[in-house]
Amino acid sequence: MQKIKIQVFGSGCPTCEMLYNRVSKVAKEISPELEVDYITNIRKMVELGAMSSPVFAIDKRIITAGQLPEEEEIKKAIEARLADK
Amino acid sequence: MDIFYPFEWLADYITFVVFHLQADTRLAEACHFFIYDSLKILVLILLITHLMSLLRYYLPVEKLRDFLKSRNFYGLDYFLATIFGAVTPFCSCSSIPLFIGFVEAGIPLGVTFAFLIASPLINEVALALFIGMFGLKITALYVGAGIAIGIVGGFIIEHLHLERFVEDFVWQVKSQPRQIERKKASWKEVVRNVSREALGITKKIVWYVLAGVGIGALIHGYVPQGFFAAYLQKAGWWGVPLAVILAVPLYSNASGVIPIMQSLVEKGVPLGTALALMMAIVGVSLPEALILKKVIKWPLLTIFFGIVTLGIILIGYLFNVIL
Repeated sequence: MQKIKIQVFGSGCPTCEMLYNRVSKVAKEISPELEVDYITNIRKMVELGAMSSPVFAIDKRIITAGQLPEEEEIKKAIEARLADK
Repeated sequence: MDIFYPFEWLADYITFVVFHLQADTRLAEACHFFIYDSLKILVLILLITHLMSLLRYYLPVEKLRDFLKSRNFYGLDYFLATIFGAVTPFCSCSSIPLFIGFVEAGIPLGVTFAFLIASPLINEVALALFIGMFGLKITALYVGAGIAIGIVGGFIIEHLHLERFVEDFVWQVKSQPRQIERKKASWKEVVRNVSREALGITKKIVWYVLAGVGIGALIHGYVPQGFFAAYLQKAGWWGVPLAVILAVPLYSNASGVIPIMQSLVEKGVPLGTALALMMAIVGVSLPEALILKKVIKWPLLTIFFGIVTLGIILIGYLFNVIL
């Protein structure tokens, strides 16, 4: 499986942690090799171009910002990226 | 005909037919008030949160920021920033990225603060509650006052040249051009997204609102007419600042307090004092202040809060005089 970089950016608020847990769960279901980084450095988040937390990004592309996507949506995004590779 | 007539009918039916309550008793009045107002407010909240979520779906804050930095607005940017702040939901976990994002884009500090002041002050839940409890005219006054405080506050902060009180690292952030995966979403997906956000917001506050309407209903039914007027006349001119100071720690329960206030106004609390109290509850919060401390230093933070608090007190006096 190709390596892709899945990231969740958040300030540590409850919604941010919920997103991280959800993305981790979905990623593990797709492949146990996929890893999700949880980044709490807000500066990194702004550098990516987002202004509302939490952010879900794959390979430095923002998938969602400021919302909590459903598992289905997360799964689609990861699989689409994997298919692109 | 009143568009809320069906709720009136339902409240009548439950109060007088289902519960067999005697008309004109205190209990019947409180019960009727609770059913009618809860229904009306919940419907308004659902409606307005959906509208605002839809607006945000097409105009996320990143786009608003890009628009603000796109050209020189010759002062109109303060006004635009407060409007944008009003449609952006305020979550304290987003205030830091918002602040850095604005400053990094080269948007003046004053305009950034105009946004930060208006964002919590004018929000969809407060709007729905105001329309439901106080009607459109008072809601318009509330929104106008919020925008005025945002514009004037931002303008003052800009002209005090306080850039040195922004933490150094904020000026060094450089964002890459935004790359957003935006696949074409179908209508169904848009509706689902919007609805999910709106329902999420509603779910978070529904118990506070119901508790607030419940307490409001008891006041409505059991507290005699003009009860508070006597006390507050004794409080005299310091009624407004006192209300504002009392309000600051109440932040988290804003959605519960607005329905209570409506009943208090009905029983003699001056409207300006009540508005000041509600604005302070919604717009000024200590947790938020402490979060912003990560990006700005004490003097700027103090000036920011001072201006907003003073603005709210002045608005309270103004409304007490003109209403």
